[in-house]
Amino acid sequence: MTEVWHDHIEWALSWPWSARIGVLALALAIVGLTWLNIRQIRSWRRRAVLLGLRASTVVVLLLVLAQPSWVSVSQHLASARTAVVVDRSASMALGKGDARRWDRALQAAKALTGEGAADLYSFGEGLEPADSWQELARRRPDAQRSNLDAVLRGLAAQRRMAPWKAVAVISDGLDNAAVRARNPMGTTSLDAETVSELRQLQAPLHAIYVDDPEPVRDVAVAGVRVSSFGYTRTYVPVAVDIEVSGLGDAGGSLTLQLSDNGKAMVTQQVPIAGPARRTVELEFQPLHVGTHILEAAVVPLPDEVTVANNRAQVGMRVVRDRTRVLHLAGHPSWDTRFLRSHLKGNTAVDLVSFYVMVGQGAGGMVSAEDTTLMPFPAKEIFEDSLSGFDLVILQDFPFGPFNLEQYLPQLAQYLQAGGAMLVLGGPQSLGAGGYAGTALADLLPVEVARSPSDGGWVGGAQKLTVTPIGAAHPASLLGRDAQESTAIWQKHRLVGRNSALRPRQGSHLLVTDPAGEPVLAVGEVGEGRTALLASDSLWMWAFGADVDAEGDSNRELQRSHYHRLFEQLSAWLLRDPDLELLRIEAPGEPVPEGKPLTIGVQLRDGAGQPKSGVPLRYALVPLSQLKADAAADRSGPSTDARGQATLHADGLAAGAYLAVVEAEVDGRRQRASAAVVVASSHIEAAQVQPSDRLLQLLARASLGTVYAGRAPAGGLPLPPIDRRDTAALADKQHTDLWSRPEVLALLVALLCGEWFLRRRWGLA
Amino acid sequence: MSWICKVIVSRWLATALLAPALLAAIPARAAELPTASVRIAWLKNSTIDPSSAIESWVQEVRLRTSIQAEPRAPAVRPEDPTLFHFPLLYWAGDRAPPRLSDAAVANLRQHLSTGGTLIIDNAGRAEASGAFDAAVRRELLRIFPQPLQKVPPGHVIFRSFYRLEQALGRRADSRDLEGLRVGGHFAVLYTRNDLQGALARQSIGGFAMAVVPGGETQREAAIRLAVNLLMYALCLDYKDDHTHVLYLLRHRRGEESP
Repeated sequence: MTEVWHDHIEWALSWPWSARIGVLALALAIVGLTWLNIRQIRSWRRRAVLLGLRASTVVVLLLVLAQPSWVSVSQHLASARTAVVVDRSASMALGKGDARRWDRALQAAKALTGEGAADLYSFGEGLEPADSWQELARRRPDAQRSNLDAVLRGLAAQRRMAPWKAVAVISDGLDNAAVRARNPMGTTSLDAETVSELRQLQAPLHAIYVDDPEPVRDVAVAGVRVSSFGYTRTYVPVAVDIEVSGLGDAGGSLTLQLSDNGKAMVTQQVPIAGPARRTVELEFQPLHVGTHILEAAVVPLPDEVTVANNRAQVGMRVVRDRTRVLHLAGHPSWDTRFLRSHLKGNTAVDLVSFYVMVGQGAGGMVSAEDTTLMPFPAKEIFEDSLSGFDLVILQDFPFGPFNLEQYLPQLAQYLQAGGAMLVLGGPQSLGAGGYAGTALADLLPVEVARSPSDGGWVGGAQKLTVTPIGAAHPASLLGRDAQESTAIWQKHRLVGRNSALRPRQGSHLLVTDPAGEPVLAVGEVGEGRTALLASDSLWMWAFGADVDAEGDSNRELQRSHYHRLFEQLSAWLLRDPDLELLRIEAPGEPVPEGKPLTIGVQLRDGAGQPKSGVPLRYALVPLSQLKADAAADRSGPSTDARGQATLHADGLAAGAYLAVVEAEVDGRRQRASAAVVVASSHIEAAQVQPSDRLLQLLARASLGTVYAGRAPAGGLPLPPIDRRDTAALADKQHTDLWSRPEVLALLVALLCGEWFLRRRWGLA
Repeated sequence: MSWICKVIVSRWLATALLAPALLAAIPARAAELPTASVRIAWLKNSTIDPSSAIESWVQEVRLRTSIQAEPRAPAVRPEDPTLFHFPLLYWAGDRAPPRLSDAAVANLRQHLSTGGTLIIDNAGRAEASGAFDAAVRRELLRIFPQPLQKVPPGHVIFRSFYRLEQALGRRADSRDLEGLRVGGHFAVLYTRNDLQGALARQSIGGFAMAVVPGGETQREAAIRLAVNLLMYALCLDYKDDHTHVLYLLRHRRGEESP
């Protein structure tokens, strides 16, 4: 390759012809007028000198107007060459022994470069020149991306040095960068941007498509598609794209599992036989408000070439549109009446009620014909519809007479899966209602004693004492703070309560009678929550009939306490995020591996005011290793004046985690958690089956050819080309002539000389 | 003889000493406590004593339904704060009742506005008492500035438990109920057919008055109305719920289907 310089002048004048002619006419007019002015001079020498000076001035001015530049151009003379580009991404390492895609790609590259005049490259994230075939062979197929877009741009840049006769790309066709993104599955012609990049090569692109002699054995979850948001208790369709290869028409099935925040929700068997790419439609019922990370995973088969692509995640946000409440009452009472009014008064509540209207001994007194009674649809409720309810309320509901026992497994399953149950006591409920020893009692936050001496029910006015936990618990907080809440609870009374109850291990006793007998308790069952209020006289608050508070003459306050208590109980049972003092905001989408994970924290006190200066503790627990009540063992920052803080975590390996954050507010531990997913950056492993789709598109758009498996025996079909050296522009330098100081000095000298001579020779 | 005197004296002394302690053990305001069980209190400005009828009413309710009601019928003055211990009030009369005090009007207004129910019964003997009727309408206008309106025949009151076509009592002067809507439901219900007359029993057990003109069939209709009224006070529009309406449409009287 040699370098040649060419120099020439370029004019910047871009005036239209009419303007140019006008300027030229003006210049001639100036010269003509000058001649008329000096024609009376007798000496022809003097006339010639003055006319010459004026004409020179006009010429110099015209040159300045034309803005001439001195341009020096450097050109390289080089022979047109062939670019051989070998895919070095990790998928090229697949295959066994000599049948690895990489080895066969090297053989093809060697065959092509045997002709000489070929530039060697490998590519992954970008274009990587290689001096020789040996150097290329020493490289390892481990790049984590296959970026054909970078190849096209890199070769276009290289063309400035030497033109390409042809470009040969040796690859399995698994681009996972811009070209694939711009040309998704189903595209029949290349996008305009890629076509533009191809044209800059000014050479055909041929592809040597490295397929596998035998398809690799692999099952891949190519994607999980779901709406970006959904509603609680409303089924959301989830589409899982599965790609199967190398399994032929093998019998059997794949086990596809859909998990929500690491918890298995749906398992489905997918027949192996069928199209290579299929979409499995699943349904998912989100139970809680907040971020849900859905993961679709196929249980790996033996001898799969990789298991890194057997799972994929997607995030969605879940909100609550309406609260669906199932209200079951053992009999109509004032308590049912005021609770029904409370629930119906909330337009966001969908209420389904069933009251037991007839006593057991009334069979002969009423007939179905004369009444509007309907049978209690226990089967429909407990077997078919239970999961559609956000909250189940059992109000003084007797256990025995309605065959509830056979449906208790469904109720337990509902709670385990994240349901909520509020049990309101009464003389037909709990110990008095035959709950002791039943599976229903196991779901309660209290233990129910068998055969209590008092029949399980104590009448009369009951004073109330709020426990230290209950004073500030979000479900039972009735004042602005724990102190005020304690005072309010002490003013209220109930009439009659269920007796022979003991707090259950792990549950929280919020309100008791003065002797410590449970009145209000809350607990958790699996993912669900339960609450118990062991009395049927809370209606007195709603009606302003609470005798002790009567002295205040403030019935409205009593009513507000009733509504606040039930709203807070419902919100706590439903895990309403607005009720939690500690809230965290985790990314709703999977975080790419290697990128820092950021979690926002908001802390407030019981009155809703920001809680500042509180140190946080946190943990990121892999969902696969999750234990109940995982400890937050890392120290985090303290909350700022706005009660906010940001937690950062780096270096997390790919996978699903539960972010747990803890803080202490008014002596009580607050805890919040959210699921986060760190997505694998090894996207090269996401798709392993070779595909010539993109290579075909590229070759067709550049008049190239796709060769399967190996280099063409006779070499690439190169286009007819002039074998002489071809010049390629290498450099270009501009030097402006019109703006130099010498030009100005020349103009001044000409004008001064003319003026001096005119004065000397007696002219004006 | 002396030992007899000693025993008498010692028992007298013991009784004298223990009595205050026993009395102290009885809750002083036990009778005024609200209870979780259902009680029907009658207003003391009623011109008749409906205790017997209310006891009979409650007995019928307990026999026919699952409602846990107390037979005892306390009387309460409308201006008394303990009015709020009784969400269901009953006001009967056969002549013009005393005018309600302003305190009573305010108390009743608050009671009925916050969930209470008032059932008014015109207990005129031969026919509905015009004086009671006029007084009731006048006093109700003082409580709520709106006239009584007819309860529509298809209203949930007529199917809150029994399917009823009309609102009968001891008399059948009117087949309708009248009422006042407060907060979306009828907080005041007025029958002009002497409902308590159909329910009242003699001390030996039999019904106290004959029912005209329908006899015992009409008495059963009156009892059913009484049951429905109490059920409505407790359940409001429960039987209007979508689920129940669908069921009732599928199972109309005489059209039972699987």
